[in-house]
Amino acid sequence: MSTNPFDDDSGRFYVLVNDEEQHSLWPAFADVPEGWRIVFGEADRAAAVEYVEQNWTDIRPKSLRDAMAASQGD
Amino acid sequence: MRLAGKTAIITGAARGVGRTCATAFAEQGADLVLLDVGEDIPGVPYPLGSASQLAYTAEQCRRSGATVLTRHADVRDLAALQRVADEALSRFGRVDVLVNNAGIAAPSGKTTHEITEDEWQLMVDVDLSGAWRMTRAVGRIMTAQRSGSIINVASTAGLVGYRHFAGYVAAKHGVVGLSKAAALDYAPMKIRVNALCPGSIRDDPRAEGRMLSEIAKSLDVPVAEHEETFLQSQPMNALVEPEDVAGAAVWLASDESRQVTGSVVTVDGGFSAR
Amino acid sequence: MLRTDQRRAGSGPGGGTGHARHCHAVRVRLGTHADAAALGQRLGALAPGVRLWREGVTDPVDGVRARGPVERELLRPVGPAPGLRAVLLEYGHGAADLVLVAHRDRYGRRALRALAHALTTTGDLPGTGGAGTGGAGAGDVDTDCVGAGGLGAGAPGAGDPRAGVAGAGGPGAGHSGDLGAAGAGEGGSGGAGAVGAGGGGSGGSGAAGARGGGSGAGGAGDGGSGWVRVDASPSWGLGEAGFGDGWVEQRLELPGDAAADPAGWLAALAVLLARYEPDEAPAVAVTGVDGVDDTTVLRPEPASWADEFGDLGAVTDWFRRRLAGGAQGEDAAVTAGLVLDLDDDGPDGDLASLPFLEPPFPLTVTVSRGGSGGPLTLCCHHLPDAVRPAVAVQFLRHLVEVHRQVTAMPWLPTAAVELFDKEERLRLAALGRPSGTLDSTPRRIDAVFAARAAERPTAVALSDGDGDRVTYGELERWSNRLAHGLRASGVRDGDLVGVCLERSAELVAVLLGILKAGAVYVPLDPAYPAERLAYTAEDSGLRVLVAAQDTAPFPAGGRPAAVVTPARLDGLGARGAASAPPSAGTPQDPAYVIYTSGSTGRPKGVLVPHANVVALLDATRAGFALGAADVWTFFHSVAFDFSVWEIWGCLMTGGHLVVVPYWVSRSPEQFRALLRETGATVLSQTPSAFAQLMEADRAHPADLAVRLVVFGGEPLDTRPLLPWFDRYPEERCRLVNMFGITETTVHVTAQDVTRREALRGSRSVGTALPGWYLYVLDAARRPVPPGVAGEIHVGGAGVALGYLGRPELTAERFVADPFTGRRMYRTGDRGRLLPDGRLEHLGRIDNQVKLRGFRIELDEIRSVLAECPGVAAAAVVLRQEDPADAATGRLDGYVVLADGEGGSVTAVREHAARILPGYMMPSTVTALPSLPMTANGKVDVGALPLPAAPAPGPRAAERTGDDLVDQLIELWGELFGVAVSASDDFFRLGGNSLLAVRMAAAMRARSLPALHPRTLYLNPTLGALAEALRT
Repeated sequence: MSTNPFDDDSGRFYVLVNDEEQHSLWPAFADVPEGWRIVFGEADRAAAVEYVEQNWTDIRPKSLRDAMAASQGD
Repeated sequence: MRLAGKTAIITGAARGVGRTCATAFAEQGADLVLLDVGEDIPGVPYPLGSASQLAYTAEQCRRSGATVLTRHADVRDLAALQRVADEALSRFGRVDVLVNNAGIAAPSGKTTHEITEDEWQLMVDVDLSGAWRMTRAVGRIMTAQRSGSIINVASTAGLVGYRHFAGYVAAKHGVVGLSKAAALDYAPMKIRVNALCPGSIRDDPRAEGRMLSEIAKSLDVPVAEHEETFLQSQPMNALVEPEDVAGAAVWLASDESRQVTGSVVTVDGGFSAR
Repeated sequence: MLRTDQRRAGSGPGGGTGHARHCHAVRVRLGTHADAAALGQRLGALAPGVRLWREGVTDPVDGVRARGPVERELLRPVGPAPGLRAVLLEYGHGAADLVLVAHRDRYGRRALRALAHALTTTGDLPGTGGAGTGGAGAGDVDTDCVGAGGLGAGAPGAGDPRAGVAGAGGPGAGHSGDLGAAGAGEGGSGGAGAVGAGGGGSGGSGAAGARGGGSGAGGAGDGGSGWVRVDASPSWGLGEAGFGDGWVEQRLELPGDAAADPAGWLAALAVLLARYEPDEAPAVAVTGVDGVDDTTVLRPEPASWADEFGDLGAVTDWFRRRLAGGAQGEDAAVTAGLVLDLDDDGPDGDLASLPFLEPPFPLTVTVSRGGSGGPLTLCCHHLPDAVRPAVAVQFLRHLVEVHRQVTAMPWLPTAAVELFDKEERLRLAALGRPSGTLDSTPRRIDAVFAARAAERPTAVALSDGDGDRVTYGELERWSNRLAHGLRASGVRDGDLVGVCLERSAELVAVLLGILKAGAVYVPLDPAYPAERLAYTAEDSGLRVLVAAQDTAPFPAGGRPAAVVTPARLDGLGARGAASAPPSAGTPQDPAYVIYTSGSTGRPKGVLVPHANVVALLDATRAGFALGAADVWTFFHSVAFDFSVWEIWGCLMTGGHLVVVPYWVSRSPEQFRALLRETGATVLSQTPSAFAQLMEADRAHPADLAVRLVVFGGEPLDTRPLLPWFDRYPEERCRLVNMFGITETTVHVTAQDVTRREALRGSRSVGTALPGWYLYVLDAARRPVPPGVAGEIHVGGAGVALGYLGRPELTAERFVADPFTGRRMYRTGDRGRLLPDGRLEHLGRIDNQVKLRGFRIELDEIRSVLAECPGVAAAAVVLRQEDPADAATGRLDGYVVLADGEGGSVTAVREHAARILPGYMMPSTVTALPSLPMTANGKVDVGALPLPAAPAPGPRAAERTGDDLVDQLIELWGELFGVAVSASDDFFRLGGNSLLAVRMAAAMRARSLPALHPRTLYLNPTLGALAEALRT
């Protein structure tokens, strides 16, 4: 199979984020899906990956984190 | 249409079993090249297939939509047979089936040591060598195609003996042997060779067959009596019809019998099983 | 990936000669009294040696034939020599039809039409030769032939349409270029009409040209049409035997403004093929275009051609240039080809043409014009066993769409071409989501368990090898105590707790206890290597580890976890039996982290929430009728997510879980005995483990109570299951193949496997479970048409939270779903959707490797071996003797032969050779008593032994001293990757028509004698072939 764009080191990417603050790498040539917004890019792959590493610190969905924080606050 | 797309050469097609096979093949979708000698042969005591009879056979085949070539040729003449095979190839692009049906039943009626040199040679030359020659003519065509079915019409006389018939019996036994040997030669090329052994065939007026009556004559026996004698020895109490033989020929010609080669298909009402 | 099947070579109804696909025909209506004699004479002059056959046509009685006489003559093929047949059909009343059938090697499109024109228009006839009626037949009875100018090739008369074209000698008037080239290939076709080379004896000079193999540009001018291309069944065709014999035709009329430019159609076909076969540069076959008279295959290079070419206009121009320059053919496997029948230069209406007598390609697309100036019609012929009718229709539709874009938007980048309109795109996206919605309320696993325990507290929940039986009530209280114990040990909601215990009832209780404590369990299998366990503990940042001893059974990392035994936990929590400790855990919380190793990189932990596991049970409970009467086995490693299905599937449905001790799971005999003793009803197995169980079961009466077998973890080869059905019929024991991945919670799809699937060697893994959905996407994130392979993506209720501590990896693999806006997981597996939404799993993308320049699917090879009768299990490994040298790569196959079924390695090789292309044939096939397995029950590829007698490399070739034979030995050795000798048979070595084409090309390259396909078929052994080539 021709190189998957997600693995293409020479490709251009966005970083997308949804309401749950889950991040997704996204090839720049593709339309952004509904429910997601661009938070970084267009950039090369290494920069996009770096951004995710730095910014996505908790992979639990936001709603889950909020619920847990709320209960622990009791 | 069990023979759709196939081209068949039939020798001795003017009448009798040859005619019946031709029309049966035509009904099953084959295109045809029909051969007969078209004239009498010195030494054979009865009239052979005529031009008019051959034309009639062709006409019947065309009524089924077959494309038909007719040719006169003597199966003792290899060059003529080869020309016919070449024409078949030119016209139709292929030769799928050969029915070696041409044959004579007389001169007969003599004890073995009474048969003359010429009589013996004639019988062998037409009935046995004729089949071999025509096989030669189509063999290379079928080999190039890597497919084909050769049906040698022998006789129960190719399996058992009959009194006063040594020449005929020997030739027909030879045809059976030839079929088996050729089958082995051609098997790697997917060409099949089989012997079809009919018993005594009724002289069907539509087919204008006359074998039985000619045999009776050569044995110097009234036809009715000869028929009666044969009938008594037929386990099924009936003579074989030309259609019965044609039916077996259609099967052998078609792809349904593609694993059948070197075999002997006997259509004799059980005569030779006794 | 393309498969070639030797049975198809030279096939056709009635065992054809193979000429039909190279023939074309025209029918000229002759209105007034046709003068047959004059016609015959003209024919004799224009085409020496070809006679005019005459047929008087009367209406057949009742129309007994399916086809009328004209159609029958039109469809009657002719060989390359003489290459032409002329039949005059004479009806009553003076009307007649002249049918000309020609072989393209001899008469191309233009030549045939010119001939028809010359024959049927009056006017001065130059150089009338060969007079006389009555042909060469022996004692003609019918006047069948007229004006045969004698047999034998003479110099063509000046009226010969070929005569005027400079350098046009040689087969097919379309091959421009020097004479040496034109003669290359089959020299035997009765006279190449080598004009300009001094006429006469043309057959000889043609042949002489052939010996030299052509020079310069001409090398591809193959006279023997059989060599120009090879047919292959397209992998996307989804063809099936049994759809009926014969060609199926589909027609589509095109809008009035559709363009007829051949280059545009070729470009459209190429772009479409590139989408349908993304792994290969598209090989486009074309027939019937000016400049290309017989079939030519054009293949744009390089492999990433679409990107290189940029836009559609550039692609079209490329084809236009190739056509104008006199295209040369390539040797390539062709799945689809184009036939252009666009002439509007012949006499209207009176001349009808048939561009081929038999469709020349597995999928033949004909663009024709009905009458001059009329609308274009697209017609598609295909053999249903190569291409399913629904796929052919779809292909045609897509072709029209691509062509529209090619003509209307030449600036469009090829990558941006859209095959589907919006409606079809949505339909395709929904194809992988057929099971409807899932009715599932998100809950925690421990809550569901508690409900089961409340319902039937005295029912047996667990039993294990020590003979312990634990009821639901007891397990509830036990796990409560353990949960309290964990709390007392400092475990809080959301903490990761490692578990390193042997498979036992205690293990299950601990897992449950962890969940009840609101924590996340991280299973560590004590059977794993210590380094792996250490890595897992370190990577997951474990603070607490529950283990059998007070110290961890693996080296401590930088921050070692506190180790505690279950007994201690039980003690600590002794007073908490009545209820679980307070917890704010929600169903969306992670329940477990299971580590998976991909083919690249380090193992990573997948975080899966409770809700996903509960959804999995909600999706399957009713379908599998799971309930309290069931007895499940817990067979698999707790660190393998199949165990999640076994443990929680059982305990959440009220069943009895039989914990299979480690040593029992390693002995098929003992395991079988356990199944019998416990009356197990639900069995989960990897195919490799099941194969061994089947073997052990054969020695006993068929008395197992198993009613459901769930396969997972490995691709399932269905054929070896046949003996199981004989013993346990489907009504009694249901087999289900489930494809799944850890990242989407164990299972994604389910496919019932019955005798039918097994007999067909079906690779379907079924449709998605309710709540899960699938996409098969190409590299550009577009859905591919059903049948076309792409990467499997999974969305829905099973998508995990991500990889623990690896946000960048998570962002790369768990990506946005463009169709629903949710998240989907990129599996890295290849697959294709069938038109009914079932998925066919084609193997890991990584398992596609290249060997000697060929693309190979290891999974494909394995499944072919497994399909061989008598084979119980199979495996394939690609080994490279010299890691730096790709040419030393070798495929080694392994099979386990089922007892008493008479299988043998030889039979397996022969069977495989009939299906696999030569380059995919394993060099060695070794029979093993069983396949080595990993701790997870999957085949341990690394543990497969080296073949006993390693196949010699291509270098170890025999030398006979005969130059031709030696060259062939070297050539065949390279082709097959094994040492060959003069007595080896090409087809038995695994050769087929594709390899034959490559061999012919290689021989040409070495200036060896030209090879005709017939020669090879008649002389398949190397020595015999050399002899035949010499003569």
